[in-house]
Amino acid sequence: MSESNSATIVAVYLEKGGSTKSTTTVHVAHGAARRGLRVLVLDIDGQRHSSIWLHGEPKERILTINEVARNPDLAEEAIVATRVPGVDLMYGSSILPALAESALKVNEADGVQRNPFTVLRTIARRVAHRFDLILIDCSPTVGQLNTNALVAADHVLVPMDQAKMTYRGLTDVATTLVKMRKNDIIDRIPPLTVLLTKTESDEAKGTREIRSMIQAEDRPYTVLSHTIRYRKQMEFIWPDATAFELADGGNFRWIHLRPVAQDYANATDEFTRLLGLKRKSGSTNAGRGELAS
Amino acid sequence: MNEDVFAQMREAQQRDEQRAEPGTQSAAQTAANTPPAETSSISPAPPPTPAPTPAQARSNARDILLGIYVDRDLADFLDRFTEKRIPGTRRKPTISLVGYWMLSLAREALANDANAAVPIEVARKRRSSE
Repeated sequence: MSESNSATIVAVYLEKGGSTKSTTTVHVAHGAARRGLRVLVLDIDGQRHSSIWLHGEPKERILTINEVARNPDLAEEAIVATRVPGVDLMYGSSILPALAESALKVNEADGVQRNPFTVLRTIARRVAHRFDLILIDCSPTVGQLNTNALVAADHVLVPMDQAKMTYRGLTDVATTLVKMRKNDIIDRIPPLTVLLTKTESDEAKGTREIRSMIQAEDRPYTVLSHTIRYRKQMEFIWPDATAFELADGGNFRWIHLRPVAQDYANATDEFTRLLGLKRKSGSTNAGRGELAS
Repeated sequence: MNEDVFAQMREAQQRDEQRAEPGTQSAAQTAANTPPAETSSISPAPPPTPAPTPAQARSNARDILLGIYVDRDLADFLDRFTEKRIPGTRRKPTISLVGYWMLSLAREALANDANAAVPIEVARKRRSSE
């Protein structure tokens, strides 16, 4: 948070797979960096999609979240720069999700037992002074790592397409949070924000119904007014570039991504204002003004 | 689907809000809990533009082109492309050639039911393998 000189921690979370968690993480990170915010992406998804997208496959051995979870003293050292200026990364691990239950119990540096639900919070707080926003890219499961992410989070961002399964996923998120609160794993339920993605493919009546259910008034979450339009080309750009890079690049081939980049810019703007994060002067898109709202 | 869970979540949130002291709130919590009067400095985001229906889209290819793909800065776009030389030649594309490219894309998009076309290299590969 800008006032206390410490980052706002946001878990990008939905238990359903394929709901654009990684895409949203990468593009919200890029959008926030374009607004001059310092962003850290903490990838706890075993698939490491956002890590590969932002950093590529590591050419040499680097510290990942696996090593840091075992020894949080390595947190600072494990932060690497990415292809996007202003966005740093703690690289994901394909091993940790499988071994999380045992790995999170003991701090390997001193061999002392610890609370297995607060490891990620410890890690995020160690590096929070360096950033304005920390985005945790969660995996599509209800494992111990994701529980850690919800414990660490000041805020939860749920990217959703308008499918029945995804709506069920949203109720699952609410159930998980209520259960965690009842069992005192968290001391409060973090504010929940929903970002609607893959819109404009909603001609079907059923899709519209789901969307109106998500946007119903009495819900205990906020739905961002900006949505992310669906473009087939988004499925082809991983891991070479983000929609912002391609939209800015001026290559005619990627013109379909301009609306997507614009949507992410608007949604990020709305979301960061909701979090109380102020746009920094000298932000990179101020000069170009192309996709800034 | 279990709708009750949202009610339970709201109740839990309200209980937490009542219990929390203002001094111990995080900034995110404060932002979420601040009454509207105090957040009046934050201007509400404008509502998103509604997408054209497929019928409207099909009836007006120009709207698809401008409204969906090129968005709002067509002029900028044309300027940018007419400045670049065509690979392998010294020629710069004329506005009409860029327009032709755009129309080709729009036509392809229409063929794909108003969804974005696949990247050119993928389409070429598909065509050559057919």
